[in-house]
Amino acid sequence: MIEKFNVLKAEVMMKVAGFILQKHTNPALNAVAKTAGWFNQRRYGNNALDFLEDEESIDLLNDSKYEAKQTED
Amino acid sequence: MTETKHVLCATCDISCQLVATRKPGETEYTFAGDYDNPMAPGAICAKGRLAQTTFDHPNRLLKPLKRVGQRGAGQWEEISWDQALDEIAQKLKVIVDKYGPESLAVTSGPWNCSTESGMTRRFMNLLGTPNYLSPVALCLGNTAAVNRLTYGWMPLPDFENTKCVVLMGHNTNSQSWVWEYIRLKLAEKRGAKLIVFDPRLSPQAERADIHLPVKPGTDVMMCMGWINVIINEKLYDKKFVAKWCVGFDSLKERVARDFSLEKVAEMTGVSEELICESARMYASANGAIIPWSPITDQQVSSTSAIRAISILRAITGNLDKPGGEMLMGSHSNVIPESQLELTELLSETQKKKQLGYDKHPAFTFKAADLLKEYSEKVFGEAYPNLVKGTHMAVPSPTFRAMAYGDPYPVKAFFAIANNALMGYGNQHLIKKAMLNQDLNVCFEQFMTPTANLCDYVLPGDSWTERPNLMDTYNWATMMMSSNQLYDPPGECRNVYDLWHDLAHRMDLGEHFPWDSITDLFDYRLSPMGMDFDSFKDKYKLKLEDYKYYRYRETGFATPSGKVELYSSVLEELGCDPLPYYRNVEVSDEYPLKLFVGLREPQFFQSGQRHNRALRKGNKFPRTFMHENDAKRYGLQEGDWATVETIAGKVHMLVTYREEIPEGLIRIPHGWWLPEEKDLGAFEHNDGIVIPDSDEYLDREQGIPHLKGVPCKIYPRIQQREYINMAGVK
Repeated sequence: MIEKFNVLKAEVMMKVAGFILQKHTNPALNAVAKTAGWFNQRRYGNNALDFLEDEESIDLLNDSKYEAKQTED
Repeated sequence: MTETKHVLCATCDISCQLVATRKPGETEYTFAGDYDNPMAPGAICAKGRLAQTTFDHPNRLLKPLKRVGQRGAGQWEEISWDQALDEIAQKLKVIVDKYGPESLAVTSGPWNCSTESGMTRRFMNLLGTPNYLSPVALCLGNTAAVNRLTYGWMPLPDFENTKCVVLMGHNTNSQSWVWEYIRLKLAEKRGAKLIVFDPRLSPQAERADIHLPVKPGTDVMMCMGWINVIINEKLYDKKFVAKWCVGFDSLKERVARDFSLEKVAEMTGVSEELICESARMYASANGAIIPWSPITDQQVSSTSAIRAISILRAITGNLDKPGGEMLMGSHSNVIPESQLELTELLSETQKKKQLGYDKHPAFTFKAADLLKEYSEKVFGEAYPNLVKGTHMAVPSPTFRAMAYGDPYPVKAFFAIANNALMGYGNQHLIKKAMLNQDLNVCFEQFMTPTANLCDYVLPGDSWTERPNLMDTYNWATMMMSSNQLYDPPGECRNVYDLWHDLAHRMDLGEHFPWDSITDLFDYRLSPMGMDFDSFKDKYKLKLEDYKYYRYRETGFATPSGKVELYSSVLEELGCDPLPYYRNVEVSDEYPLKLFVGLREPQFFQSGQRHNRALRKGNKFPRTFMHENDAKRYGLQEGDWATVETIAGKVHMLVTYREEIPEGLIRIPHGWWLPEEKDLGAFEHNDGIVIPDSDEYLDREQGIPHLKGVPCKIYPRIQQREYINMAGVK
């Protein structure tokens, strides 16, 4: 029963994702898609995408330590 | 009114969906991530944002070039496309007549020419050569091929529903694999657990629920340790294993014989307690994923590692389960590349000539032919070219044939949107191979080190200068569209035009009836009853409805119709049907391990080094190491160091990283210096130090070991003057 519910939920979510990804020319459908997108993000919390502002790559550079050793332009 | 168009970024292989906007009066579009995309909202990186500064650049090739000096001398004459293609066709005909069609090898970078829609292999199959190469042999394509051995398809991780994510050292972040990074972060926000395999304390490792600091190249050992725990603690999905798996008892015996927890702990450097705890976390999650990782693609035990991962997915019941791994097949209403490639026209005799076919068969036609019947039955495609990697020639044997004529001569080499000289192991061999050709042709945007060794260099378009219909590399039921934003500059053309026009000169024109790439897209979409323009106007991404647990109706696309824990295909190929462990160890002469393939945020593969906006944040090739190791070998941060393996030497600037364990150094992939006269191609590229002798190759695939090559490091002796950033525009 739980498995069936999980499957149904996941399949419906995929249909909704497909609907959101369409380019709707009908303003009503477009509004529905936008609302669905908003709800989708809300399930991840208030500031779902706050991490996009973080810099997670430790391989971004800080050349200052050895810049003096290089010839600068 | 602001003009808005959706585009697919092809700067890397992820295909982030971007929004391009242009205000009235502006000539250039500005790129942003698409926040309406429900899967990876806002995905974009600096390379994507600055893409037009990469393409609209003084170094851009604008006209076909013909070599007039020695190969590598950089002396060129501008010629017309017609002259270039006439001469190429004429020379190729002579080579094929003299040596046979298999004497043509083509290497192609899938993302840079993602509009080719199978036309490269179509041309090759019609001509009769099986020697298609791609860098996906070391990156994702080989994973796809090995996954097929176990359950017939390459799974797509269901991030949206998962409860547990296992990252095998794959360092996704806001600048690399952004699409996956966002899906991962969102899954974590929903409460998904995170387990990270990584020798270093990466940001993911730092925030993970469990970090497993495995020694380089021991991933398969850890996976088999997990399987040990899962079997002995009966954490596997008993119903699924009983009904849908074959070879469980053999697997159990192999685990008991070779992978005791004590041994796994000793070899990986991770405690037994942590191995058990992590295995339990993965196995008990109701929906867990192990997304693809390049780390396990690039080891001497790559096949075994990928197989062990596949087995984990299966015995825990995660295949085709919500939150698990989806075996999607390709989009049912679009003509797939596999159909367009016309593989069935390549004769059995020619398939068997594919280089690497006997010695390293896992992703060659030899393995693909053992699966074709079952693949056709389950997925409707005899030769699904998943990630363009499931029936390729093997790079090392191909370059040997090019260099030495063994087992037969390969005398024509086409590099299509692929800087091949920098893209595989043993760069010395590739150079020798290219210098031994009667014809080298490159289709490129810039004068790369590979192009510089060619006879003809043809200018290609970029992803902002062409429309695109993207089928997720035939991996999943997602079709994406992309708008053309600009006209290609100068005489830059689409890769389809190259094959179309060359085919017409090689008497193969009837098989290339589409006048343009858009006509070809129209044809591909015809089962849907739409043309490309109407598809593009309706869909940014068309997601086909998906049924989980599809295998319950179809079975798996393997000879047994089940998940083959014990692989009958590998057995028939003469390979070990079960995962085993193999590694390369340090010696007195080479006391350190070299980890190749670090993804730097400013660049993708060997690209973007010419772009000042990106390069100014990363001016020179660097090696990353622990400060204690640097001091031990007489180095300080900022020094030029020489890194040496049995294959050769590269010169890199020392950079300290405290999260890297002592005994390990890392170098990034793909470095060259476009501003230097010699392009810096033979001093800094990782391919120079990657050996491809048998002890460094994965046996089943023949791909080289990049994750833990024994090496030494010392201060650079021969210094040189660099033009430096003054030469980067």
